[in-house]
Amino acid sequence: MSDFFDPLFSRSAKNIKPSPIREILHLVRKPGMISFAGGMPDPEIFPIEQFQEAANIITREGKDIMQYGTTEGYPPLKDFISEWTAPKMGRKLQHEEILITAGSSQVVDLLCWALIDEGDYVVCEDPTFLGATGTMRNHKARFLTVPCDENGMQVDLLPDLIEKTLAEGGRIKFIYTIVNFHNPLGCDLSLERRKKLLDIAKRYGILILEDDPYGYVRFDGEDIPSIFSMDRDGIVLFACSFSKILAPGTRVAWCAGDKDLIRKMTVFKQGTDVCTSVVVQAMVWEYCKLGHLDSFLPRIIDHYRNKRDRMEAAFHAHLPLDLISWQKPAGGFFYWMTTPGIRADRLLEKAVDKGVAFVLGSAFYPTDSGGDNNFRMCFTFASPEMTDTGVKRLGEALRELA
Amino acid sequence: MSGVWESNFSNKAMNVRPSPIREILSVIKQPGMISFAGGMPAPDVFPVEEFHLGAEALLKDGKNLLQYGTTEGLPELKEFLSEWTAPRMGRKTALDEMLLTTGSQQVLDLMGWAMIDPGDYVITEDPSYLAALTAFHNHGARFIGIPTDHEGMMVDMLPDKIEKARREGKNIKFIYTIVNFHNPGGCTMTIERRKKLVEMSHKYNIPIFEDDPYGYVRFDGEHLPSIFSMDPDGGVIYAGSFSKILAPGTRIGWATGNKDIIRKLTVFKQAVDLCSSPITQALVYEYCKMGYLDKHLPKIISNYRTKRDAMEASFRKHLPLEEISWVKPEGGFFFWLDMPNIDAKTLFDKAIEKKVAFVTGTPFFSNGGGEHNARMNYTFCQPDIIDEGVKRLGEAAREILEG
Repeated sequence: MSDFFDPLFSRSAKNIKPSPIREILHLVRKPGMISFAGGMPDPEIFPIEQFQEAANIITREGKDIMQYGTTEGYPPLKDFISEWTAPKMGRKLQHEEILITAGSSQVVDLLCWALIDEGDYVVCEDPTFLGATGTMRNHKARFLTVPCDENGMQVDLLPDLIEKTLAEGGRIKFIYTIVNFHNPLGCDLSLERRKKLLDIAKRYGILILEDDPYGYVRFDGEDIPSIFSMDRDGIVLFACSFSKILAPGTRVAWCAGDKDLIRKMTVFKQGTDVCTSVVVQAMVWEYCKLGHLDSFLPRIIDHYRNKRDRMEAAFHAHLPLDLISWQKPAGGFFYWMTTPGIRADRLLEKAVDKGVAFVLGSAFYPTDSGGDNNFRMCFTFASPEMTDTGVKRLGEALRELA
Repeated sequence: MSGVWESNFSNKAMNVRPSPIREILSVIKQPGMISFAGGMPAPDVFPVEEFHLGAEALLKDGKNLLQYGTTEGLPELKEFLSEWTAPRMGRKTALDEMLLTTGSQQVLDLMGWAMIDPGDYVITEDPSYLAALTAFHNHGARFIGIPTDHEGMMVDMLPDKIEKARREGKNIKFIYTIVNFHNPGGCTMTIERRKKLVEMSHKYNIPIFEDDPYGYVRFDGEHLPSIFSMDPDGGVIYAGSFSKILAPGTRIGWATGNKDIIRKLTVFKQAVDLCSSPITQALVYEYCKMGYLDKHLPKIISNYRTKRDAMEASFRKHLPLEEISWVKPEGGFFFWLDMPNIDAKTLFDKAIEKKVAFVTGTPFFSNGGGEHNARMNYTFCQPDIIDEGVKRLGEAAREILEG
């Protein structure tokens, strides 16, 4: 027993809750359970041999890469990112505009360090990625939520919301948006809305965190320009990661933005972990430099497109279409399901009985209201056969509740 | 430049200070400069080939290692550490008493998250590890400094300090101590003081954060039992790291403690970086499992012992001994120089002219002090360079003393 620690915990520590996804992982471990809950890549499509080949850099550069690295990140990797992301960013980034991080969750943490004082507001989509809002909550941020439709955040609602909050004396620090293949919604923020969002942010002096972990995993259609690329004022921080385009086990991500902000975040990173492992940054760089990122990524995209199509087909085959609807995502990892007449929590109970799991929609609503008739299905992880069987079980559960 | 960021920065961001070592980086990088400023291992002791052998694991277990890992850490590596650290910890710790972290720096940040509300107090040694002060400061901590001597923290001063602080309504959250081969002090806390510290921790109900990144790098004498091993009540959290016993580029450290506090740290780690890279954890594990940790560590120790001895010999040869004194460290990375009649900042400026760098004492103190101290790292430079650098330092010191 920690008689010592309990009374001494910080307020954040007393209030913090483990992620609902983690909690559901306990359910998922039951034998025979088919899970669409986690948001994990499929290990079948990890470039294991290519990545292992990249480990040869340890022999070549060991004296350098086994040392402490600069907090800013491994310079050759930053060079590569600058070149590789230029089409999306609209230009080649300078080194001082890039910070390499331990996964993109660290981007949110460092940005909050730099911007958030207790009680400050973050504007976010309703629903949104709960890992990000959890981190913001640890930093004692409050939330202003904006509903979404098939074109992403309904940005026209923003001015009223912002003005009302400012009139009440609230401080709004940044707008958090997942622009492509939203987690959990699966939608894209349309080009027109990106432009409007940027205008609004600029007008009110609010910053934008453009989170784009899935953007390079597009199955259909054309890439939409990043908000970062439209911004001439340095008010957008763009975050991306190797988790979905290589493998999450690297824990290597990056953010790009105005160099004053990057500098501030870098100073906080000194305090949180000094630097991201140079060993693994160098391995990622070597993998990219050998050409594997470009040659392997289309295989990852194909693989996940097939899986999405498989899930879509299973939905059509097994679900009672009068009871449930969804929007087909053009990329990413998730379907967002709507069951107007059925509560998702009751459905989950029934589904788990039948051996299939998903994440309740309500988990993604930062202000704890909404999503009672929604749930999230990840299509990337389960095998095609499991997907088929799992969706069939889900269909049975739905029909029994109808 | 974009004014929009500045007007939005948090108060923490306005007050955050970059590490002083970073601040002098441009000076250190001048051609011909000999630097004793950093705290880096020597790259020539990195077991490059042996470490690379571990990459075979990626082929065998890639599907697992390239995936997200558990926040708690790779179980195999935790099992290894439980065995390997048992002599120091007094027993084999359970898996849920340990969290693998992104370097031991992360333990500092996580302890900040778990324990510190703005305005809370942390008791530290004066001087203390800079990046710890920074990490706690970022979380809003204030500090009560306890002086150190050659036996470490002067724990007898604790009761007065604690009672006074409590009378003033101050909220003390934990006692932070670097027990072995202190950074920057070089001293090691004696067994007697460790025991006393545990007693006071119990008496006042204040937990202890025992930071021990250097403990396994001992040149002389016997290993001392950890404070963790002396406390049956779960009031000690212990932090260790592979940075000094393998290589810092791995960014793998660990925290050991009561499972409730470990659980809290784990939940915060979920938010800050989800998990440390399973890839580097596996590389570290393979290296350990193949026996290289035990085989190679004596080489690291012997390399650094030679360098410590070289630096001490150079001190005796080149420094004005009547004006400068030090405690000979029994391990670790640093000498801490005491120079009652020399202003460290003046010495620093003069030393830079002569192309030798060190860190002045002041940044290591939470509430002022260190104006007459210098921290000298001996692990990074080769012995002949050490001698040349100390010679330059001696000249700088003499010029100042001769006014």
